[in-house]
Amino acid sequence: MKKLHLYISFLALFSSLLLGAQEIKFSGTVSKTKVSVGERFQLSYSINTNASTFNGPDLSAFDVYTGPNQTFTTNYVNGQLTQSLTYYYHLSARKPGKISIGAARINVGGRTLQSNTLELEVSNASQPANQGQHKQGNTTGAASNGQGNNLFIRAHISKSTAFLGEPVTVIYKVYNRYPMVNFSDVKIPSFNGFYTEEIALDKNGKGVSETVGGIQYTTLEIKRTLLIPQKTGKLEIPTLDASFIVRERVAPQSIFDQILGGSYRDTEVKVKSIPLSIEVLPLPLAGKPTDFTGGVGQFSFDVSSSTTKLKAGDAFNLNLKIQGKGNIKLIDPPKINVPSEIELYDPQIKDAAQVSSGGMSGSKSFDYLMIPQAGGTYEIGPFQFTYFDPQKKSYQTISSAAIRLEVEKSAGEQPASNRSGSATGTKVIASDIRYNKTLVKAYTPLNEQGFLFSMGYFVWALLPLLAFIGLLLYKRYQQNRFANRSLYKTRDAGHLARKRLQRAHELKSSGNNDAFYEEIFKALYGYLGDKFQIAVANLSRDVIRQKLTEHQTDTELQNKLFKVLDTCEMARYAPSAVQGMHEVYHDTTEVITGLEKR
Amino acid sequence: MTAIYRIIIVVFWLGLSIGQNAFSAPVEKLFDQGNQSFLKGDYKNAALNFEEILQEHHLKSPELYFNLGNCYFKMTDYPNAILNYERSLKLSSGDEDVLFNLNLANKKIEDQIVAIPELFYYRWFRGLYSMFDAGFWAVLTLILWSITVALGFVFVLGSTSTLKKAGFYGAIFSLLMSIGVFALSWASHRASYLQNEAIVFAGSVSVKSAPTETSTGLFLLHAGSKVKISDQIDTWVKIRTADGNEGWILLSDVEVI
Repeated sequence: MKKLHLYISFLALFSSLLLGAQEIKFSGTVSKTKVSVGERFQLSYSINTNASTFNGPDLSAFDVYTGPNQTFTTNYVNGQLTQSLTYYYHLSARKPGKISIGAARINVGGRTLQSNTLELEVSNASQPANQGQHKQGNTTGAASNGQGNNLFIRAHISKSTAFLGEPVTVIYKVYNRYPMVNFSDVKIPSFNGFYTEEIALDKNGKGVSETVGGIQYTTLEIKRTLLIPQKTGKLEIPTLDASFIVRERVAPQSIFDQILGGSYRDTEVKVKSIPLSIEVLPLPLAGKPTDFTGGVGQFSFDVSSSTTKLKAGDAFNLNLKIQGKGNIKLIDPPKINVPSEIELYDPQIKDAAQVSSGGMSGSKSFDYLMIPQAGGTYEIGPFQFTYFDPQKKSYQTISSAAIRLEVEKSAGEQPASNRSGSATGTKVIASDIRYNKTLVKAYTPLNEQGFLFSMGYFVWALLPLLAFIGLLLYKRYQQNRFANRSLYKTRDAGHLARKRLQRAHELKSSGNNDAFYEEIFKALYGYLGDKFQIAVANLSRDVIRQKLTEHQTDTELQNKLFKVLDTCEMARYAPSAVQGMHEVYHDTTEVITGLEKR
Repeated sequence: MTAIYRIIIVVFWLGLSIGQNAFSAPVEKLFDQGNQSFLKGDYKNAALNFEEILQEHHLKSPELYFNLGNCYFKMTDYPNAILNYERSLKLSSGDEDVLFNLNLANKKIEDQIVAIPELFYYRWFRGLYSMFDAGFWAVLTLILWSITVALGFVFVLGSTSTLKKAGFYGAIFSLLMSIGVFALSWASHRASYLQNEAIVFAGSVSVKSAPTETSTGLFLLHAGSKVKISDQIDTWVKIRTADGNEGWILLSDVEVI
């Protein structure tokens, strides 16, 4: 026993010493060890001294909402100072299963401390407690939590069937019976197949009391959206997920609780609205006007022109304004027709539409810029606007009055036919093949091989060549013959002359004087002509003398020749005055043989 | 001009071939009947009439092929329409109506082959020789050749030096001209008479890398496409498309223009 006492006192002493030296503790805790997926919980690390450089654990398996945040508290109790530094996170798990959170590290006075590791059990998202009763009405849907329908969200839609393009409003409302509720998270749904416009909520939206199934709830709208269906068929209104922090009274656990009026517990409650759907009807095809441009609702239509009197070439504005309630932002420009003399530009579109829970209303205006190209008076319009009225379930057409436009001719305006606007060329409506030929110029045999390289071609190509060669040969022949004759003549000049002399000799014997001299004369001229290749007609005494000199005939022979010629001429004109025929004959023979010797 | 050289051709032909007489009355009757059927919308009979001129009378003309092409076009038989338009163009290259209709028909077929653009000088050359048909160029060559020979004659036998000079230079010039015109004539002749083009008639044909059934299919051609034939081995022909792809297909898959 004594020994034991000693031990205890020793231990007490030791521990007091330790305490005096401020034992440092660094530990981690979680607010819950069992959580569901997506449920928020707190992870905190505390150290009982001041420290620095906190290194948090790996939290990749969680969604971190906040943290690490830190709080530092100092208490002075019974003369003892206690300090506490806490780092905390708000987390939610992503996946179900057992998750361990690793150690965090902290630096204290140069020493690194490690915290404990933590185990966490994560169950599936939908806790059994949150799967309450489902209520489904025609236009509302709600999912409530397990605490006796104390908190749920309902979606309200203004109509469950709508035409394509007809605006529908959806409102998400929270129904609550808890005294204190705070939103912790709202997931905004996305609407597929709709054109959406957010409707502003009342800023100071206080809760409104509403009774559902005999139970009074405080309601609060959390989302209001205008939906314009863009597709036909069953379109889904998605659920809205929200988590709330609910403060619940718990049974008093201690005497102090009872004195202080009980204690509360904050719990997170996840609720979601149940999905709804809208049946979107197509616009009736029967009687659908061709100029329908997508307007669904109730509209009025107004057309105005910036001016009605202007000059050709000046611009003016035609304003088409559509006013009313419906899918006003989604209306396409109405088709308009204007005379071809007026140049039309694409419209400028302005819309001034507001969205409220009653739908979309306002106006849309189309400004068409137009430029008249020529002077004159034009009537433009009447313009028409066609829309679908979902209440009357029929197409409506509104016509405006026509606008009369007086256009003055501009200074340099040209006659209509010369304007560039009208010179647009032929407008092709359709293309077709060109029509058959009606006349055949010429047929050729099917197996025709063409003229080039045909027999005929070669023949015709050779023909000129043959003609050329033929002509050449002929010419050569002709030339040869001519040349031969001259040669012969020269050679036989003496021979011919001798023949003539022989005849002259016979004439001399018969005593025919005139004929004798004639023959001698001819013999000499003929001989000289042949000898020198000169036509007898060209033979004059000068020519003969020249030729004889060229032939280097001696003067004695020349003189003899001219003497004979003189005698012959004289004998022809005065036959009695001439010497004897014998001498003339003799001289002539002598001259010819003399010349022949050369 | 055409009249003159047609007369010249006729004279040339008359000198050499006998029996090339003008087309006979039955042929003209068939042609008119074809056109009348076409007008009534009876394209099938119209085509039969035109085909008869080709098959029975063994006569052809650009107009005949053109009308036949129109019949097939109207019957939506575009490969046949293209074939006949191409045949018409072979006989009268550059005919605007034929080119127009051929262009339309080519838009109707599956393969829209974009031709590799020709080099500009080849385009000019083709534009030049397409101005007249092959017969005209052949005759013109002969005329220029004859002039060359005549001037050569003047050169050889000219009695004065001026005459000789004129003959000499004239002959040289004329010879160069005739060589040039001969080139045009040859090109035009090839375009008109060389059967080196064909139209694909098989609905869809795989063009092979070699003239065997087992070789790799390189690309697909569809009915109506025009190809150039560059070689033939047995029943296979080597073809080349306008965009430069080459390969082998069966001769039976194509119809030679």
